[in-house]
Amino acid sequence: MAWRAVAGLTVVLALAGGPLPGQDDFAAAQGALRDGRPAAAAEVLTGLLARASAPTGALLYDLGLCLEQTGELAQAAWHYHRARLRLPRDPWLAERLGAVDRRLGTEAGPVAGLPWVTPGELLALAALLQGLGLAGLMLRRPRPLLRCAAFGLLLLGVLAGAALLHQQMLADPVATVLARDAELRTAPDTSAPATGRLRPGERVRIVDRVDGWIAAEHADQTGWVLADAVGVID
Amino acid sequence: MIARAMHRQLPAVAVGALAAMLPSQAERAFVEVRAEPETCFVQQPLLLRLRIGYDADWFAAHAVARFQQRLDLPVEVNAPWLEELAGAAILPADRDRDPAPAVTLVGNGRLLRATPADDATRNGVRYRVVEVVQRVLPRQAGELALAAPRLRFTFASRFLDDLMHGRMPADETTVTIAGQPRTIAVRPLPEAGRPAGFTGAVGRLKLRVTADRTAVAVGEPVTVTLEITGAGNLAFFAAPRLDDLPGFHVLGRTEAGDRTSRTFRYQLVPLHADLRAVPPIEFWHFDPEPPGAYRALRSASLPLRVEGGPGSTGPDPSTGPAPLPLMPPERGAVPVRLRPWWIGSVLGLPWLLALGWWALRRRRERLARDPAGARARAALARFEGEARRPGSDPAALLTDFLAARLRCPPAAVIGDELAQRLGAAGIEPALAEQAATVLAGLVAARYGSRDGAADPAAVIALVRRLDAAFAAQEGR
Repeated sequence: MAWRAVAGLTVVLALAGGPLPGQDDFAAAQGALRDGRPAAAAEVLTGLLARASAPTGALLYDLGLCLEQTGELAQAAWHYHRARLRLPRDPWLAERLGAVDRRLGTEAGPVAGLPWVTPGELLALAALLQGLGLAGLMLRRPRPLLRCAAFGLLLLGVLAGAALLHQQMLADPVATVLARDAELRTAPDTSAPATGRLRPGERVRIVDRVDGWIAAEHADQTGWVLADAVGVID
Repeated sequence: MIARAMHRQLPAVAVGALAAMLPSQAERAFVEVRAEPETCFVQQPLLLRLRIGYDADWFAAHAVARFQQRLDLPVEVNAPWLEELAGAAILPADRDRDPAPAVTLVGNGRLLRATPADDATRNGVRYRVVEVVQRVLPRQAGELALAAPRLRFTFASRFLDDLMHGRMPADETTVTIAGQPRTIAVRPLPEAGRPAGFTGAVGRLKLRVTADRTAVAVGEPVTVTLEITGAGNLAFFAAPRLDDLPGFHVLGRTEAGDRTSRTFRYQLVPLHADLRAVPPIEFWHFDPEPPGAYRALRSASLPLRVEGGPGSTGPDPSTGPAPLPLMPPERGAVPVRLRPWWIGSVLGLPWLLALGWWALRRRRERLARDPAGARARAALARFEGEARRPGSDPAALLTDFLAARLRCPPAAVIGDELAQRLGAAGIEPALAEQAATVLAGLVAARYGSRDGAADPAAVIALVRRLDAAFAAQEGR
């Protein structure tokens, strides 16, 4: 049995030491950018993104960076916002996102996700705060100040948990308008009258979905827009 | 300025032609104003055409020069808005687009130059037309009111030949003709869809972006020039903002302009050596062509080689240029959608732990408050553990259990009144009697009697029944 364990460990270590999946594509994208071909780099990263089971924040950021250099600002903003869900405190991402939003004039739209933490981090924080608060309250002879502090921690933990549950289960998803001529219509039908026009890069809140259409809420106005015209920030 | 009026001789005409004049001399000329376009947006350049039409043949025969200076067209026109117009700025003439004016006349008390235009025919009369073109720029929404222009000229129906002065008018008549006032609606720029990068430019504009070099060191400035041309409010919008240009810091800006272009020169400092180009620059403006929309002019990216920095030897050619600041793709591999059961488990775990902790502590506290009960349970556990072992003393074990339950020393248990004492403790009489009998038998067996020997399993069952009965009594 011992030799089997040693062999298995060897295989695992060999795999761990080899190139990570997508490293070659990443290097190709870097090369294309180095050569001043951001469109080619974006194409490589788009392929990498399509093959990824779960996109990483860095991959989305890189793709947004390439698209921004090609002038596809709405697409760049969409990928930056998706990246922000995964890297909420990254200063480079925040800088690029702010710059693109300013250029698009879309700083004021709804924001997807949580402002400073990832959902996993908020979950861990909520559990930790609740655990500390409960432990403090269950001390055998707690001092009043300690009891107040414990109660405060417990309350914070409960609020954090509630915020997480709301964001994960109740909040409407947010999408970025990608099409140049997206129009809000009164019904999910291309022949329905248009009630407004959406600019590329604007963010809308998705309140319903029907057969290739989404009901989007934008600036106190709700209407139907083709689902292909927007990209969900997820 | 024309100082004073003076009669001058006009070319001779046949006097007999006077009889053929139209009934109203006012129809010998007209004055009107046209605006292009008819309505406009704020800051949209507007072309005002003051048109003067005159019957050229009739003027040649009958017009009388009213001013000392020789004029191509002996008329005086009055249109104050050529000089000043409330709510609008007067723009200089665009000599590149507008034809050179060639016809002199008097306007607003000074010499004006008009441009010949196409002839016009009205009511069967053919008019030669000249135009005074003025560009204005509406500065506020509302209406531009153009007062009715007035045209004044003098004519004579007959002339006398004078040996001294030549041809002199015999009867002078001065006619004033008024045109129609005009009102031009000026619409505000739409708020909806106004991009953040819009700095007030309005018109049909073009953008040209150039850089003064293609290689620069980190920290050294490169001059990027934005030249904006076209028909628009070139002198009236703010400079485009390049603060968000990725990888560059705007060190400074200068600007220049004339009637046909506006030029902005930015000193851009590359912040790191990873840059390979000046990214595309966007210039937002409002295009007033119907339906009117905000549009972006986007330049191509300008190739730029950025070397390591002042004093550096530049990148090592053997290693190639430095990589662009892409993030390693492994960063940020976190889920953004958590499974509900996972959230519930993690959030519920502290509460489950706390509940377990609380239950354990309650049990400990209860045990601590009931030493007799603890003694009884310990005795029961000891009985159950040892009763089946060979060589054990079931009588002593049962005695200890009963003593713990009756809260008395073991020696006080053994006696004839045990059944009564158990009954007094709440045990039903049959069970109490059975317990007393079994204990008596076990004690007798300790001393050799074979009558009291009991099955250990039966004794254990009896003790459990007794313990349950005692527990029920305590719970009650």
